[in-house]
Amino acid sequence: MIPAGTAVGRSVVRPDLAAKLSGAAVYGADLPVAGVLHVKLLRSVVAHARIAAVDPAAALEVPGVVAVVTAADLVDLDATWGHYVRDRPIFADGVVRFAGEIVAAVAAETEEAAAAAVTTIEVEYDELPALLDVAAAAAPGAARVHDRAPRPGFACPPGTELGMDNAFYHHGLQHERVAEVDEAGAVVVQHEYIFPAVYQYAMEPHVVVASWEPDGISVHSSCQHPFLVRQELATVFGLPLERVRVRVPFVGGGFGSKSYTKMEPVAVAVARAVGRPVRLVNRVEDAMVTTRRHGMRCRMRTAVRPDGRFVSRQAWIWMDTGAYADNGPTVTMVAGMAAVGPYRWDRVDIDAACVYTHLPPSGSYRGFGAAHLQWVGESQVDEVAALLGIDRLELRLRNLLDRGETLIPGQRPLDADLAGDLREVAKRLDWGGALPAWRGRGISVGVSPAGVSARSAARVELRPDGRVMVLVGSQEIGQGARTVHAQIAAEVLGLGMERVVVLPTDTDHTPYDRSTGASRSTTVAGLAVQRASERLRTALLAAAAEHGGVPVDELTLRDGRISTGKRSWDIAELAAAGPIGADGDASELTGAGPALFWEVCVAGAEVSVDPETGLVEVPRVVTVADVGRAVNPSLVERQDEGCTLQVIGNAFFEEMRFSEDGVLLNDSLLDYRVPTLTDVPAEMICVIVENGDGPGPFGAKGCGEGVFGGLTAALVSAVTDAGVPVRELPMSPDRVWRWIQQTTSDTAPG
Amino acid sequence: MRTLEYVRVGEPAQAVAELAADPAAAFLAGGTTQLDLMKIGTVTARRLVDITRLPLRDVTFDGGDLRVGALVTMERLAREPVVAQRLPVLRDALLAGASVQLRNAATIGGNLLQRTRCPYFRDVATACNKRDPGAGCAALEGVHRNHAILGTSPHCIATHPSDLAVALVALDAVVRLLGPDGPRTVPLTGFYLPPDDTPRLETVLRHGDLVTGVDIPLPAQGTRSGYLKVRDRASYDFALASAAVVADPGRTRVALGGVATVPWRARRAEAVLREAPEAFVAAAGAELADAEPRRDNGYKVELARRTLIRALSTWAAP
Repeated sequence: MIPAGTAVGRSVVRPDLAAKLSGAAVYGADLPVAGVLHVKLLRSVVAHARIAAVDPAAALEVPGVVAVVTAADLVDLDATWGHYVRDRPIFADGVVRFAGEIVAAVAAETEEAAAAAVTTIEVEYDELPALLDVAAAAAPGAARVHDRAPRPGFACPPGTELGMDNAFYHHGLQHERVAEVDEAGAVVVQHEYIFPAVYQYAMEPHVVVASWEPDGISVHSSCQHPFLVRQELATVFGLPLERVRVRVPFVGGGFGSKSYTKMEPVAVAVARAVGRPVRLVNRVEDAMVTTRRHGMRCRMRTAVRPDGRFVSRQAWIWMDTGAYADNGPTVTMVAGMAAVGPYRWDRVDIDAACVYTHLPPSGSYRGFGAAHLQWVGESQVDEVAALLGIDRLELRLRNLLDRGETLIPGQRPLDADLAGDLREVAKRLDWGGALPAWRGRGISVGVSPAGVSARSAARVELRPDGRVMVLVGSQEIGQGARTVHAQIAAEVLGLGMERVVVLPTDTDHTPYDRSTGASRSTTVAGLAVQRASERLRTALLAAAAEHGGVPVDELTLRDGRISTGKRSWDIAELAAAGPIGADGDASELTGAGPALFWEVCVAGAEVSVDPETGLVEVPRVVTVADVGRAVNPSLVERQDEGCTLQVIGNAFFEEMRFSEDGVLLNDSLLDYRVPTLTDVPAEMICVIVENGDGPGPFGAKGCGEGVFGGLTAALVSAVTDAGVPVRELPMSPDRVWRWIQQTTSDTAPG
Repeated sequence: MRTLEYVRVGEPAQAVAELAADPAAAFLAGGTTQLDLMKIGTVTARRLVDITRLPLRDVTFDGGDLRVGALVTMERLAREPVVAQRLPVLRDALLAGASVQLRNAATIGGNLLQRTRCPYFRDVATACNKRDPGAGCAALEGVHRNHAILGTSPHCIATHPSDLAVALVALDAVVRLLGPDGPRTVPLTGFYLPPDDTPRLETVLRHGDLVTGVDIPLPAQGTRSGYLKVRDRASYDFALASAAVVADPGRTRVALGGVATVPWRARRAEAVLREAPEAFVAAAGAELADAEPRRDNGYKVELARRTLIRALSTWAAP
């Protein structure tokens, strides 16, 4: 625990709270836009087909309809997009590759007219066989989802190999500390595992307001990465960056569903066709076929010496990215890393493949990779522990990497005290204490690469009214980024929080920020805010020294006032003639690969299984927020609690169910089950660990995603400890019940 | 564009006449299901007759019966003192049946007529004999984890979704109707029709019939009763299996929900209990003996059996 500063280290109230609670906050769907047209999309009802004909005649007859837009209206453009692989047509161009793909758009004076008209467009499909299973799609000789060679998108790292097969991207990790084969007496565990497709469910689905103006594109979008959206739109529509303007209103949650580009290209394409501003508001059923979490299949093998020393791990992973790549290769890379686990192996051999199927596209979702793979690796550690008769915690502690050791060659060395984190969890779970039948405890440890890029800049300005404006392109998506950035500026500048305002992003004015994801807002964008604030502080003191005719080193800056012995001025006086500003960035952050720091994924859980129904209840979870420095402890705790509830959903309820034809069946929130408040664990303990070892401001590092890896694995571990081995998520009551029956019959005598 | 007519009526007879005159008309009460189904195209009414102004909002006690108007909301009925004191099975079923927002809007009459959650019924692009007779049933070989194991037919295996109706079937409630030919009453146990080869016909109602209320005979003083609902998620979810138990002195009445095509009065279980009042396991076994599970809903046989045993152990044990 580090003592609190004037603003940093305090659980200050979020400045956006009142606006959100009172309804004053303006979201994309609320933006007043003169003359705006409403857009409704016609989506494919089949998973794979050639489009024989599209007839919009009836739709154009509907009163209020202005236009029906299809691929035919974009023939003058290279109308495909995709930041990693440029594989996605704005409108299906001759072929649909998933049920839900956008075939046409209606723009109308009212939402009702657009909705009515869109159902009257007639499309003739010549259906084709669909690849819905990731293993079948990756099999040799499988038909190809895309028949052209993949084109790298603007954000594809140079040198990335993209292949022609459905498994178009592989992330391999092969390293040997000891070049041998597993010894004869080694204990070996090998199984196959399944993670289902799930949906992020941000409370606000995607919203875009777009207009095509003589001087360029103007977009208001509920997006997490406005600068990458700008780049994508500039690329697709052939404009220089400065002629694309992206602004972000209040955003109702992201969780990765609003990362990179989503609905912006189609909205802009419609605005371009009709010459008027348009508004596109996804509903939940649209959002669910816009992006989701990758379904996964994995075969993993772990070998351990009889004395408990870890020897080798192998894994073959198939990530179902759907019909278009979206962020699939990145997710696949992180999944491959998560398969390793933070242990001292002699040999590691991982192949993670990103695979096209005829299902809706998959992208980022909080904790990706770690959520998919940590539970798989950790359940093998548990199984080995049981086979060797070694306590699960003890076995982990013996094999865990220490701070500074190499986790993955070429990547940042381990930068956290994982053993210390694990012990914190064990203590709060009463590790080793007896439990009644059908109860279990689980514990898990992992890390995930975070930060991703040092490209964040900020500008901090003192305005004549005495307030300080922070311009930073990290989005407030509910996680509290604006609060934290205001705290950092307030701390450095010696100001009260009420005098610091973090402005919404406008790419015409806000300094560049790569993205709001990978837990980077506090660490990377926050560092840029800190550096800009420090420069502003220096500038203010220099200006005050000149103003007061005293040497700088005799001045102090506190509570918005500059003092020298007996005299003091409010800093507002310094800006009387105009704003004083300073810039800063995070370029000092370095690190090979995607990890600017390793986000810690350590958690524990206690569960109780009802053997009669298969229902699992979770009386207690313990999460570790190993954040280096908690800029706002309350926000850290809320991050862990929010993530806990999402994990409960992924682990026990959530599963996108597709028909045999590849059509999403449970596309409503009644049929797709996210947890409710009644599913919250009775006790949620968040342990904040402050070792000051993060590369961000004041020693901070990011949080909020690690729980997805750590707690999913801890819940699997706990259910297994209660007597029910788990190889597939979600652990829904019917599955758990079936597993109980199988376990009972497998072990029955005779 | 789809056009929709809307008319508001003040008298039950007027409501019946409005509907009888137009085969494409439907009643609108709480609207919590009807409007959703119209938006997705499953229900294609062209004229809505708003019955919310009809004088059917009273709850009265009449001799041995609790008389509940069809427009009484779920929340109101659940909070009636007599329901809390004498009909815990009804209170439990109402409270388990929907979130408070829905309970404040949804009516008792509407609840009894709510439609199945079968995804194929709701997705107009798929085959469904209930929506489109003769089209086939996509659920038979499709996703049917939450489909019925009792009362099924080769043409439909859709589960009846109501919790309330399960409790009312166990309580021997009687539905009051007003039709073009005047008023009549139907016992709830005979109100719902199993799918057989006409899954479209879900109840004995004819076009123009208006549910005006439900009469619930109060069980004897000292009767224990309750409703146990088992589901994937602790709230805002339909039953995977549920059981209503009304243990009058000397006689136990039982119904099952979440597992059958209609609210399922468990007559076989009751017959076993008449002979042996504490033979809970045998009673549950007898009721489920002829269950017909399919590929993915076999777990429901055991789940329903155990749900019933637990409910009986809770409310029918001496």
